[in-house]
Amino acid sequence: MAEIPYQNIDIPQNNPLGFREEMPASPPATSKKLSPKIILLIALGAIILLLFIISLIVSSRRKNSNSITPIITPTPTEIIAPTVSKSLLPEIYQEKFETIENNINQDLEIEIPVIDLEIGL
Amino acid sequence: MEVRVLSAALFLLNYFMWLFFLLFFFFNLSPVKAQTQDELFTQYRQDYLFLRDEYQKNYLDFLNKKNVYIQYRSITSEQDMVESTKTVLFSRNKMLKSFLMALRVSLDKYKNINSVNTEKNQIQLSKWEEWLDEQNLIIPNFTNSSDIKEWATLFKNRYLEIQNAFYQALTQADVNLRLYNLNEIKLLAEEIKTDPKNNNFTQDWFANFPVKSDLIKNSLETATALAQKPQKARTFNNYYPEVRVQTQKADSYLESLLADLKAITIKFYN
Repeated sequence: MAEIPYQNIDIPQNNPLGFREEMPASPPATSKKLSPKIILLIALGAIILLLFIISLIVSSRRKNSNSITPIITPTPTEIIAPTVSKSLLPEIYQEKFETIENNINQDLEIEIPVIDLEIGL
Repeated sequence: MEVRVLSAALFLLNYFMWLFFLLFFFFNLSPVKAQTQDELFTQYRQDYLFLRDEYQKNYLDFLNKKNVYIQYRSITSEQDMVESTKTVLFSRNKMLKSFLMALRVSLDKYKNINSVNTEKNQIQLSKWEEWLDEQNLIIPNFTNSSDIKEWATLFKNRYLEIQNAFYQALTQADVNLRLYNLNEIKLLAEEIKTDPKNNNFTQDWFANFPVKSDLIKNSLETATALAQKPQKARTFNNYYPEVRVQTQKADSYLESLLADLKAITIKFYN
């Protein structure tokens, strides 16, 4: 009885036949050049993104500059005197009294029209 | 492959464009504020003043054209006078409408004090605003003096009602303001009453309050009654000066109430 040569399929290193398994060959990686249209579009996208970032920075800076409170420069002739409340009323009621007082003397600021009813007669 | 990359690039470009514009507007535009009642009234008042100036200019032009016609009695001068009359009547209606609008908007401020009567006045004013608008559709169609004369007679009669409507609205505005002030004084007094420093100092003030409050209300009721009186004569009987007397009386009571309250507050705080 002749000896039948065999291959242990569980251990690929044990390959007494020197048999090479045929593997599907992967296509060679080729560097394809992008068309000028795509390059143009990507460039445009990048410009827009850049503009967007710039606008964000500018608007945030503008907001910051608006929030800066102006510093009052003191006039040299001014004499610093302790402030005394003009009213003897406690502060919590001062504003309320003032509001009502102003409201009492407030009238509707609208002039009544004066017209000539004889036009066309 | 190229088509896929191109479509992806287009999608990205589109996406960034929209994102850019949305964020740009979001960061740069200030939000649109709703107009307050005061702002709206100021705007309408300015419109009224502008249209009043326009009317006055057109009125002077009308007087000139009328004088020329009286002097020469020519067809051309008559035609000029007809055109200037149409212009002045048109601008007069616009001015009156803007006045009624400003008045109607001003009533919103203290409407809660007497919403039913205030609403009635506002409806009346709106009605006359619409009527004036309708008349301005008719005026450009006049071709001669007799058309104008006929319309001017109608307007003269209707103006009695318009005057009554706006004087009633003015009276309502005055009454609402005084009632609002009375309520504000009462609320302030109640706040002062609960002040820890107040040791029953406001007791007398609260005892006198109903008397003064009644006097104020009586004055305001008299003012309202004057405005509600039907107009019988062919000319407008202007009751508004009498209304002003009543509202000024109410003001003096309000001032007295407030002055007393102020004196009491100063007393227990010093």
